[in-house]
Amino acid sequence: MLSKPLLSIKGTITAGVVITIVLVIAVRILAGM
Amino acid sequence: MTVGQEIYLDLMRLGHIFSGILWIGVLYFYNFIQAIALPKMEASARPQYQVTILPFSLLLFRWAAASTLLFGLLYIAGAGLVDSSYFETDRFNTVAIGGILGIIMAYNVWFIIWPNQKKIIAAVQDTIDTGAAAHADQPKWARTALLASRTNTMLSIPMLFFMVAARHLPSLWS
Repeated sequence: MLSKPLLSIKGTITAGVVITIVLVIAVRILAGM
Repeated sequence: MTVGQEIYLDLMRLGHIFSGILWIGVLYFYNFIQAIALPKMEASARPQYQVTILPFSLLLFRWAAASTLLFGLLYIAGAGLVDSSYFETDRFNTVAIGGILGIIMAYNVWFIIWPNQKKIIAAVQDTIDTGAAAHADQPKWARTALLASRTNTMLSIPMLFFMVAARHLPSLWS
Protein backbone atom coordinates (compact mmCIF):
# COMPACT_ATOMS: atom_id res chain seq x y z
CA MET A 1 0.00 0.00 0.00
CA LEU A 2 1.22 3.46 -0.90
CA SER A 3 0.09 4.86 2.44
CA LYS A 4 2.12 2.34 4.45
CA PRO A 5 5.26 4.49 4.99
CA LEU A 6 2.99 7.35 6.14
CA LEU A 7 1.80 5.36 9.14
CA SER A 8 4.99 6.26 11.04
CA ILE A 9 7.00 9.47 11.35
CA LYS A 10 10.19 7.63 10.40
CA GLY A 11 8.55 6.22 7.26
CA THR A 12 7.18 9.67 6.36
CA ILE A 13 10.61 11.33 6.61
CA THR A 14 12.32 8.46 4.76
CA ALA A 15 9.75 8.69 1.94
CA GLY A 16 10.29 12.48 1.76
CA VAL A 17 14.07 12.08 1.53
CA VAL A 18 13.73 9.37 -1.15
CA ILE A 19 11.41 11.60 -3.23
CA THR A 20 13.91 14.47 -2.91
CA ILE A 21 16.82 12.30 -4.07
CA VAL A 22 14.79 10.89 -7.00
CA LEU A 23 13.75 14.39 -8.12
CA VAL A 24 17.30 15.76 -7.85
CA ILE A 25 18.66 12.85 -9.90
CA ALA A 26 15.86 13.32 -12.46
CA VAL A 27 16.65 17.04 -12.78
CA ARG A 28 20.38 16.34 -13.17
CA ILE A 29 19.68 13.71 -15.86
CA LEU A 30 17.32 16.15 -17.65
CA ALA A 31 19.95 18.88 -17.43
CA GLY A 32 22.60 16.60 -18.90
CA MET A 33 20.52 15.71 -21.95
CA MET B 1 13.87 46.94 -12.93
CA THR B 2 12.40 50.02 -11.20
CA VAL B 3 12.58 50.61 -7.44
CA GLY B 4 8.80 50.06 -7.23
CA GLN B 5 9.09 46.68 -8.93
CA GLU B 6 11.96 45.70 -6.60
CA ILE B 7 9.89 46.68 -3.56
CA TYR B 8 6.87 44.74 -4.85
CA LEU B 9 8.94 41.58 -5.37
CA ASP B 10 10.58 41.97 -1.94
CA LEU B 11 7.19 42.31 -0.24
CA MET B 12 5.82 39.24 -2.05
CA ARG B 13 8.98 37.34 -1.12
CA LEU B 14 8.67 38.40 2.53
CA GLY B 15 4.97 37.45 2.67
CA HIS B 16 5.73 34.09 1.02
CA ILE B 17 8.58 33.26 3.40
CA PHE B 18 6.71 34.33 6.56
CA SER B 19 3.45 32.53 5.67
CA GLY B 20 5.38 29.49 4.48
CA ILE B 21 7.33 29.15 7.72
CA LEU B 22 4.13 29.62 9.75
CA TRP B 23 2.35 26.96 7.66
CA ILE B 24 5.09 24.35 7.74
CA GLY B 25 5.83 25.16 11.40
CA VAL B 26 2.25 24.28 12.37
CA LEU B 27 2.36 21.21 10.07
CA TYR B 28 5.51 19.99 11.83
CA PHE B 29 3.93 20.70 15.22
CA TYR B 30 0.96 18.48 14.27
CA ASN B 31 3.16 15.68 12.98
CA PHE B 32 6.20 15.74 15.26
CA ILE B 33 4.60 16.90 18.52
CA GLN B 34 0.79 16.66 18.62
CA ALA B 35 0.50 13.23 16.94
CA ILE B 36 2.86 11.77 19.54
CA ALA B 37 1.87 13.76 22.64
CA LEU B 38 -1.94 13.94 22.27
CA PRO B 39 -2.56 10.19 22.73
CA LYS B 40 -0.51 10.44 25.96
CA MET B 41 -2.79 13.18 27.31
CA GLU B 42 -5.37 12.05 29.84
CA ALA B 43 -8.47 10.99 27.89
CA SER B 44 -10.73 13.33 29.86
CA ALA B 45 -8.53 16.37 28.98
CA ARG B 46 -8.21 15.61 25.26
CA PRO B 47 -11.62 17.00 24.14
CA GLN B 48 -10.72 20.38 25.70
CA TYR B 49 -7.58 20.49 23.58
CA GLN B 50 -9.57 19.50 20.51
CA VAL B 51 -12.08 22.36 20.88
CA THR B 52 -9.64 25.12 21.96
CA ILE B 53 -6.07 24.78 20.66
CA LEU B 54 -6.91 22.65 17.62
CA PRO B 55 -9.47 25.00 15.95
CA PHE B 56 -7.24 28.03 16.53
CA SER B 57 -4.12 26.33 15.18
CA LEU B 58 -6.11 25.03 12.19
CA LEU B 59 -7.29 28.57 11.47
CA LEU B 60 -3.69 29.81 11.30
CA PHE B 61 -2.66 26.66 9.45
CA ARG B 62 -5.10 26.87 6.55
CA TRP B 63 -4.84 30.63 6.04
CA ALA B 64 -1.04 30.46 6.21
CA ALA B 65 -1.25 27.78 3.48
CA ALA B 66 -3.52 30.00 1.35
CA SER B 67 -1.38 33.10 1.76
CA THR B 68 1.85 31.21 1.06
CA LEU B 69 0.34 30.12 -2.24
CA LEU B 70 -1.04 33.60 -3.01
CA PHE B 71 2.23 35.44 -2.25
CA GLY B 72 4.19 32.86 -4.26
CA LEU B 73 1.93 33.23 -7.29
CA LEU B 74 1.99 37.05 -7.01
CA TYR B 75 5.78 36.92 -6.89
CA ILE B 76 6.01 34.71 -9.99
CA ALA B 77 3.46 36.85 -11.86
CA GLY B 78 5.38 40.01 -10.95
CA ALA B 79 8.77 38.56 -11.85
CA GLY B 80 7.36 37.33 -15.18
CA LEU B 81 5.80 40.71 -15.98
CA VAL B 82 9.04 42.56 -15.23
CA ASP B 83 11.07 40.14 -17.36
CA SER B 84 9.32 37.42 -19.35
CA SER B 85 12.61 35.53 -19.79
CA TYR B 86 12.25 34.68 -16.05
CA PHE B 87 10.13 31.70 -17.09
CA GLU B 88 13.04 30.27 -19.08
CA THR B 89 15.54 30.41 -16.24
CA ASP B 90 16.89 27.49 -14.21
CA ARG B 91 15.78 29.42 -11.14
CA PHE B 92 12.16 29.31 -12.30
CA ASN B 93 12.38 25.61 -13.23
CA THR B 94 13.65 24.77 -9.75
CA VAL B 95 11.11 26.95 -7.95
CA ALA B 96 8.33 25.46 -10.13
CA ILE B 97 9.11 21.94 -8.85
CA GLY B 98 8.75 23.23 -5.27
CA GLY B 99 5.68 25.19 -6.32
CA ILE B 100 3.88 22.17 -7.78
CA LEU B 101 4.53 20.23 -4.55
CA GLY B 102 3.33 23.26 -2.55
CA ILE B 103 0.10 23.49 -4.58
CA ILE B 104 -0.61 19.78 -3.92
CA MET B 105 0.03 20.42 -0.21
CA ALA B 106 -2.27 23.47 -0.07
CA TYR B 107 -4.98 21.41 -1.79
CA ASN B 108 -4.58 18.72 0.88
CA VAL B 109 -4.91 21.33 3.63
CA TRP B 110 -8.09 22.94 2.28
CA PHE B 111 -9.89 19.97 0.77
CA ILE B 112 -8.86 16.97 2.89
CA ILE B 113 -7.33 17.95 6.25
CA TRP B 114 -9.60 20.91 7.12
CA PRO B 115 -12.99 19.35 6.16
CA ASN B 116 -12.18 16.22 8.17
CA GLN B 117 -10.81 18.12 11.17
CA LYS B 118 -13.89 20.38 11.08
CA LYS B 119 -16.13 17.32 11.39
CA ILE B 120 -14.01 15.96 14.26
CA ILE B 121 -14.10 19.29 16.15
CA ALA B 122 -17.90 19.57 15.72
CA ALA B 123 -18.39 15.98 16.92
CA VAL B 124 -16.15 16.50 19.97
CA GLN B 125 -17.96 19.76 20.78
CA ASP B 126 -21.27 17.91 20.48
CA THR B 127 -20.04 15.25 22.91
CA ILE B 128 -18.96 17.96 25.39
CA ASP B 129 -22.26 19.87 25.08
CA THR B 130 -24.76 17.01 25.06
CA GLY B 131 -22.82 14.10 26.48
CA ALA B 132 -23.56 12.16 23.29
CA ALA B 133 -21.32 9.23 22.43
CA ALA B 134 -18.42 9.88 20.04
CA HIS B 135 -19.51 9.85 16.39
CA ALA B 136 -18.98 6.44 14.77
CA ASP B 137 -17.15 7.97 11.78
CA GLN B 138 -14.66 9.87 13.93
CA PRO B 139 -11.80 7.32 13.55
CA LYS B 140 -12.34 7.35 9.76
CA TRP B 141 -12.13 11.19 9.60
CA ALA B 142 -9.06 11.15 11.85
CA ARG B 143 -7.30 8.59 9.67
CA THR B 144 -8.03 10.48 6.44
CA ALA B 145 -6.77 13.74 7.98
CA LEU B 146 -3.70 12.00 9.40
CA LEU B 147 -2.73 10.45 6.07
CA ALA B 148 -3.13 13.80 4.26
CA SER B 149 -1.10 15.52 6.98
CA ARG B 150 1.64 12.86 6.75
CA THR B 151 1.58 13.19 2.93
CA ASN B 152 2.19 16.92 3.34
CA THR B 153 5.04 16.30 5.79
CA MET B 154 6.59 13.90 3.26
CA LEU B 155 6.14 16.38 0.38
CA SER B 156 7.46 19.29 2.48
CA ILE B 157 10.97 17.77 2.36
CA PRO B 158 11.44 17.97 -1.46
CA MET B 159 9.29 21.14 -1.56
CA LEU B 160 11.62 23.00 0.85
CA PHE B 161 14.70 21.60 -0.87
CA PHE B 162 13.67 22.92 -4.30
CA MET B 163 12.41 26.27 -2.95
CA VAL B 164 15.80 26.90 -1.33
CA ALA B 165 17.77 25.29 -4.19
CA ALA B 166 16.34 27.83 -6.65
CA ARG B 167 18.61 30.43 -5.04
CA HIS B 168 21.25 28.40 -3.27
CA LEU B 169 21.96 25.58 -5.69
CA PRO B 170 22.38 27.30 -9.07
CA SER B 171 24.42 24.36 -10.41
CA LEU B 172 21.41 21.99 -10.20
CA TRP B 173 20.63 22.23 -13.94
CA SER B 174 24.21 22.52 -15.21
